[in-house]
Amino acid sequence: MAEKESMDALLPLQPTSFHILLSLADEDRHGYAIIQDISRRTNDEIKLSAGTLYRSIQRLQEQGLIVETRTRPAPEEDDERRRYYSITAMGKAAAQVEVRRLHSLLKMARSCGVVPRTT
Amino acid sequence: MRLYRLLLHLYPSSYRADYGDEMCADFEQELRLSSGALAKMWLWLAAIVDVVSNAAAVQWQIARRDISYSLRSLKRSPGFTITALLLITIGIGANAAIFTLADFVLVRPLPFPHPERLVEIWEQHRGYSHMELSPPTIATSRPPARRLTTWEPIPT
Repeated sequence: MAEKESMDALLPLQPTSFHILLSLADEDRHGYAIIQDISRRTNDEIKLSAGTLYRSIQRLQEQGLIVETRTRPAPEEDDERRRYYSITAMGKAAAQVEVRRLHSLLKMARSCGVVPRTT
Repeated sequence: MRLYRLLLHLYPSSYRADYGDEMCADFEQELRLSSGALAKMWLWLAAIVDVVSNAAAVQWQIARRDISYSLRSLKRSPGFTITALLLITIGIGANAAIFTLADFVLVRPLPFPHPERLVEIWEQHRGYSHMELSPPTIATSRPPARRLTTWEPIPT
């Protein structure tokens, strides 16, 4: 019950936070890799700046939706200035709830005729 | 890169310690990937705008948290809050009074022309060495010194 309440307090997720959670859903990434991944997924429509990204990362860490992971790539591929982030179980749950919220919003828009119905 | 690192000092130190190195690494990578002086200049401009706006937001976020924490603490101990407020009120009041007095006595000029020519005259009588002149004495006497051409009392 308390978990549901804390989850409700996080929703709706900010678009930037949602994109970061999606980016970390399949693999752990460092900040710059998150920027590139979001840019690739959205066909360059969203290109996060470093300032916006790290503010969102800080917020997501405080909310317990992502954590810094100790797993790092091989030393020859690693840059010690980089920090790697991983999505938590709570982060995945928050992303799923957000997807359901967006889905019901889409259904509502379809029923109102704002969005064409798909067959 | 030193300039970018300097720019990051707009962020709070704790934030810089957490993300400063990574932000530098990102910016370095962006600079490496950009080609041409114009692209690099544009990148710098975007970085300055980005850092300034986000640093202000982070500072404001921290200030808001501090204010909210202070208000919660004060609410938990009303005795301390009332005492602190009273002390602050008395302090501000006393300061205002002292500075108003100092302004009138020490700073502002006297409210009549040639204040440097003002003298104070006393009468001496047996047993009384320091008596103020009475209005009839002033009205009926001549100035007591040659250098005083005229004299008249100043209403106080």
